[in-house]
Amino acid sequence: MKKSHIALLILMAVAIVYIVSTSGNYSSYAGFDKASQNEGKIYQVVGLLNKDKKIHYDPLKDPNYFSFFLIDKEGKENKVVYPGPPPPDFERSEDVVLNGAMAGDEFHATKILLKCPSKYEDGKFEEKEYEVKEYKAQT
Amino acid sequence: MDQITFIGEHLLIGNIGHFCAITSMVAALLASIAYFISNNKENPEEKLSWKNLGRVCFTLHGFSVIGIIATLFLMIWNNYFEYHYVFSHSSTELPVHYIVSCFWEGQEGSFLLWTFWHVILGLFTISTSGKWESPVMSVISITQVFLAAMLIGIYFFGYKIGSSPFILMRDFMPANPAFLNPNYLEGVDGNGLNPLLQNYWMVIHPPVLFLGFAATIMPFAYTIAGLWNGDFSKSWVYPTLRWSLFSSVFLGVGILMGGAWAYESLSFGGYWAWDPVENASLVPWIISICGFHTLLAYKHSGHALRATSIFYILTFILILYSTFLTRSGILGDTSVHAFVDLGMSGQLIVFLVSFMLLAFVLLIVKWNKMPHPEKEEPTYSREFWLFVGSLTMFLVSLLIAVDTSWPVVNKIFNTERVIVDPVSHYNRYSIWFGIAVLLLAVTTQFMRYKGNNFKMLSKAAFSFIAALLLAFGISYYANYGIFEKTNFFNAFEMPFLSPYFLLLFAALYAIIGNAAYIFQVLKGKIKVAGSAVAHIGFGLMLLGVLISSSKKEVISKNNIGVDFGSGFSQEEKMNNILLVRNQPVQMGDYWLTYKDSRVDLHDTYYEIEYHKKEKMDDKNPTEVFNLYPYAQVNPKMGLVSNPDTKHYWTKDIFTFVSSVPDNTDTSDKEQSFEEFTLSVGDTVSTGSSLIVLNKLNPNPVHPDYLATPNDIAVGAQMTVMTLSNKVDVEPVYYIRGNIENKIPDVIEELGITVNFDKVLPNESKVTISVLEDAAKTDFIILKAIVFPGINVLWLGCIVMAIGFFMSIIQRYREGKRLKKSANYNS
Repeated sequence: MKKSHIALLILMAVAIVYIVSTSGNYSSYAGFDKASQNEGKIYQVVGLLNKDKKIHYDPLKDPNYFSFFLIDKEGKENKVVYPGPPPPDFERSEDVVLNGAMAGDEFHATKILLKCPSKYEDGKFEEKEYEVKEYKAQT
Repeated sequence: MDQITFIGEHLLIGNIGHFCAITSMVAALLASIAYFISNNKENPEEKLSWKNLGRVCFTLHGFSVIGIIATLFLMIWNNYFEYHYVFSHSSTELPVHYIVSCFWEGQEGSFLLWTFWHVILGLFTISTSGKWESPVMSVISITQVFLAAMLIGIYFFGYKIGSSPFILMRDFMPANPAFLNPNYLEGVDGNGLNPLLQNYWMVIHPPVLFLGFAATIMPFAYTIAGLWNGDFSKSWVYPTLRWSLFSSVFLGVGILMGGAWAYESLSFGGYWAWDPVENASLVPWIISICGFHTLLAYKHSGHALRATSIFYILTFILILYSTFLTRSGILGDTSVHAFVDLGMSGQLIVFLVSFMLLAFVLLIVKWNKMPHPEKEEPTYSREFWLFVGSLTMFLVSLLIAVDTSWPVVNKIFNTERVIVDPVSHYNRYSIWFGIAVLLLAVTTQFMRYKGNNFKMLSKAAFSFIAALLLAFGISYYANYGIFEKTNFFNAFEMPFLSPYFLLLFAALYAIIGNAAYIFQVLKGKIKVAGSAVAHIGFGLMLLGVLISSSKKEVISKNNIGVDFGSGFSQEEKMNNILLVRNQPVQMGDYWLTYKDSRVDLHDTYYEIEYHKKEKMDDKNPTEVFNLYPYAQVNPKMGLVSNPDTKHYWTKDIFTFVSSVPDNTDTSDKEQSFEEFTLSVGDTVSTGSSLIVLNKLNPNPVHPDYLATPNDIAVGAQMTVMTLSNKVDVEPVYYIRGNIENKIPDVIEELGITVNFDKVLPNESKVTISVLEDAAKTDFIILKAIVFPGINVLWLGCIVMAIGFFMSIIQRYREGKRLKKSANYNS
């Protein structure tokens, strides 16, 4: 199966070249500090919604502008802008995972992933489950 | 502690179910042992008696599984909410046809479904597989032991094995104070089925997908059986090939139904998102396809048996791996539709690792004994290129598998690697593999087994040239790649190397070439044309993917709004549009009006009227239709949106409601008037409108104002203009007996209230105040996407499935004919 071995090697080489050349698509978790150092580079930021600050969405003015403040895992707070309607249940979320990049002082998110505690209550049993909801700005 | 006697519980049925679960596991274990011994015995009599024992045990196992299913179903049917599974997945309000869906919504139920299909496949094997029964059934039975263990839910040396669907609420959460009340069940209702899953797809998709999942055990079990008995004769090839085609088609249709479901009724805005859960079933599907291609090569030339074995083993191992991915909770951060962790990750890993060890150790031990011709295959033979094609598919599936596994890698090595934009990431490399596979799927057809036959190969040239010309033609008109700049692959800005163009050409070549093959080579014999038909389907499918994704267009473009910097492209920030009730808005070629909303049980339907016309006041639209996307504002889930789609032959208009005003919560909305001072002729701008003060009217007319002779009254005649509306208002200010009074004018449909507050005679100005109450305004936020050519994709999938079934029939007939001949068992 010599020829097959050659075919195998060629295809492996193609794959390796591809993995190397696409490695730009990978990213890692980061805080706002790291994201600010590389403005424009996409990061994934995990944090908590600051419920005391204004969560702004005024669809009558602009249905594609949603902003809020997020405190990342390192405790740094930053304004986040997302080009679309707020995900349902947003205010009840506990963990928020964002994909996006810094642009000036704002973090521009292109994807929001929420972990919501869905409390099942009917007065008697209560259960807490986490579910992940994903919202993308792009199509 | 005093024993409380609880009222209204049905304990017997749960005990029966649990007993069946344990019986099913024990019986499966006995069956696998009996079949194992039977296969290793030389003496035919002993062989037979052990085989018979295996049959009895497996049949008992089958009845137990059906017993589990029946009891669980009865519990759900009768709303026995004392059981945790019933409580979590069903409710009294659930329509009857979804009862079956909540049966398999949970992990335990879906394991049951999988187990059930294995039982059916096992019974089928017992009755049809002849000499392969014992080794194949050993593998199936031992798998059933592992699956049954997922459902027993007992503690074993402090480690919980499985999660029983028969656990009571009060055992699940014993600390809950509700259970101090013996009558705790009174008035309890279940949580119900997740509204996203209340859909007919949830009724048909899981059984098909799980049949595909379950059926991958057949080629795997035959491979193990072949290795074990050292028998790879024709009598091994035919059933393996049939089962392999069978599992591939059901797995494929199952995946496709998932895509159709996502497209049709979830608002993901597409049919494929490269979500880890989707990838987890795509990868084994591709590898199972590799498997039967190399098996064909082996059947005709004796080559590639080792590759075939590796593919079939990997297919099954990857099915187990995908089960682990979706059920261990490890995808938590990256996937939308993974199951909730039931704490069974350890058990799933044991399942996966055991089978991996079993299969690969056996493969290594038997490696040198597997038939492998010393002579190389000729370079232009079909077997060689089948092998290359399979290798190509195998490689792309490995790449996808690696990229899907980052959450696992991160967990093990404590790294933090994530893929930021999965769609573009996966598309970027899979498109090249798609092109390669399409080219091979035609060219290889025109090759002969065991030899170079250039005369036949040259027949492919016709299709090659035809496809090339057609691709140029289409590109010229539709701008695919050639005339459009693409930064897809920067090193090759040359248009003809654009992957879009190449994919277009390759897909056309696959369609034309395989169609031509049926006539040129097969001379129109449709009975043996299964592979050609399947390859035509594959070409159509990728053509549909290309057209619908490259020409997909969001038409709900919002051109007003704040510009918030360069961080987002123009595209991204305008994808949602605001529709105020009864105000037409232009969207692409259409004018849209949100006419009405209607509540039907839990769902709110929004009537959207589409008019195809150039101008708003065009009286004769060329086309009028209504779409009814609906949303369920669910207290547990928030807004759950379901799209509605207008289907054309050439395109789909996909519409969904992305947000609705939250009318339930008005408490913390700021209700403040904004004040303006202006003179006649001035214009002021409020949040969403422009207001012009036209005239001050000394004799105001207002339905709420009743004039008395001594009044000093003024009406402020104003025009309120929004983007698409123009409304005249006249709030009234009057002094009656030294007291100032004001009567506001309210525009209901815009939620705007205008007050006339003061007259400032010295400056000849007046003061008005405006309240815009967003909560009162009836509006929706809508997103609409046009998918051209989506029907080509669906057609391709259907044609491909038909091709598969044709091949199954063809191979079945062939095997039956050969069974009578002498070399079947050698």
